[in-house]
Amino acid sequence: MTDAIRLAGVGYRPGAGFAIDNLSLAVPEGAIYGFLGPNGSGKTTTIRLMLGLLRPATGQIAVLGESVPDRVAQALGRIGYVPERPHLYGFLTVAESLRFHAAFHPRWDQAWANQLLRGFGLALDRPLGRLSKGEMGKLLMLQALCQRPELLVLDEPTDGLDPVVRRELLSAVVDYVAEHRATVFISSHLVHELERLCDWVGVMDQGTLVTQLPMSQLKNGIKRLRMSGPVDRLDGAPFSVLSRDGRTPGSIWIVDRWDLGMAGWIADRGVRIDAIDDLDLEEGFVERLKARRAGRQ
Amino acid sequence: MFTALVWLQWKSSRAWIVAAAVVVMALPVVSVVREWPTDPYAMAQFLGRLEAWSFFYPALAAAVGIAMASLTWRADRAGHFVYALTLPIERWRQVSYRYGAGVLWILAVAALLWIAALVAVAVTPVPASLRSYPHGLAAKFGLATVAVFTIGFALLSLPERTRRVLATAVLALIAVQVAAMLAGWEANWLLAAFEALVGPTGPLGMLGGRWMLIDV
Repeated sequence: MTDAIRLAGVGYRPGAGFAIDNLSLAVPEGAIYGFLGPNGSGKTTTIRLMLGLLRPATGQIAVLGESVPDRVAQALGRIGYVPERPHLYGFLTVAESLRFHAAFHPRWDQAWANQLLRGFGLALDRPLGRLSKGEMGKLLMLQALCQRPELLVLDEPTDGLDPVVRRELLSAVVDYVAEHRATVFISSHLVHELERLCDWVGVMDQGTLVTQLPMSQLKNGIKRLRMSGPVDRLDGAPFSVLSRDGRTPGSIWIVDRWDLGMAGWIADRGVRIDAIDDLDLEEGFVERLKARRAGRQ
Repeated sequence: MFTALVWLQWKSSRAWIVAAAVVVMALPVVSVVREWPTDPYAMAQFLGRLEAWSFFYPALAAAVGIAMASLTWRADRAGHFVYALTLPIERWRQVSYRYGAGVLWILAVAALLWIAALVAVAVTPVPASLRSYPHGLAAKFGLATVAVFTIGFALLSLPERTRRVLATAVLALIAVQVAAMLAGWEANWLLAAFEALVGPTGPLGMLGGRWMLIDV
């Protein structure tokens, strides 16, 4: 399997303070890749580097096989992009904006655009400057989808939208991916939203990629263990301990890189496992970040 | 793509284009018809009055050039150029097309001036002692507007930080000049720079000189 997006050792420092540091990231072709991270973690900066809007100080970027930023124009013809903030020309109407956008995308699908316009309830004669946030979000998604991209790059596409609009937009993405096997790179801090959608996850924090792995591995590898007995004998465990809470009668540990065989390893040390709970993606995400910031991972 | 960008330029600056079109179509006709003397021996006074009107041509050229340049990138600046830079077109090509689109509309306005100037001299019984310059006036208007547009377009295409550095440099130069004058130093390089810009050989030299539709 080839990678739709590949960043290798990318560094970028916009000024004093924040920096993207030695970022390496690979998005497999056909994946729906959730890019998670708290606000200010570097998600949008990474996307801007991928789209050639920023020039990296170090490292290489390839998107759809094209080197970025050198051949970004060739790559952009195959990428549908929905930015974090609307950027379209406010003096155009919906119809004019679509016509303008279509002029740059030879694979523009007008029939599907008409269908989505009806589905999204967008009026063609509305000036963009008067669209609500939800309507603008729909228009941006419509434009990105109807150019028939091989890669969709969505930067917080549903941020600030109501649940109905969020569902409509994500349904449109899922339908498109199901039909065209496109790759999706979606950044969000709405973890639950990505949990349903993505099959790969990357987590950013403070300009660094904390982890990158298939969603199933991320969700299944992180567990909450309720144990009793001499837990101090568990030093050198074959899993990572993200946090441990010994204040309750039993010990509660959040562990990463867990698999079933490890239960036997714990039992061999005289510790009883009372329960093994799954964590949802959000809990796992928060625990990973806390552990990283505490220097435990 | 070029057609789309020509159309975008129209949408962003149509108010200025229409206003300029109305003015350039009215200016030659109104100035000549209004000032045409009843006395055929008062041609010198006619030329004097027409010269007063001729001030409007370079003023309009400068206004249209500046407006077109600033409106070319205004919407993109509001969106931090994200949309323009994520269109699948090489940057040099997009900048060239944007420039070309602006020039095209300026030439359209200049063409209207040419037509209006032709009409004005056609309805005026210009005596043999005088000559009419409809082609020259329209060409000069077109070139002067394009020159102003080009400089404005180039400056406004620069990154925000570069423009700030330039503005700071100009302000610093003015401050140093004022300080030098206060200190009794006679060198005036601001005037020299201004003359280099708008003098006969400067890039804005087109705005100077005579702008007469009918002249000797």
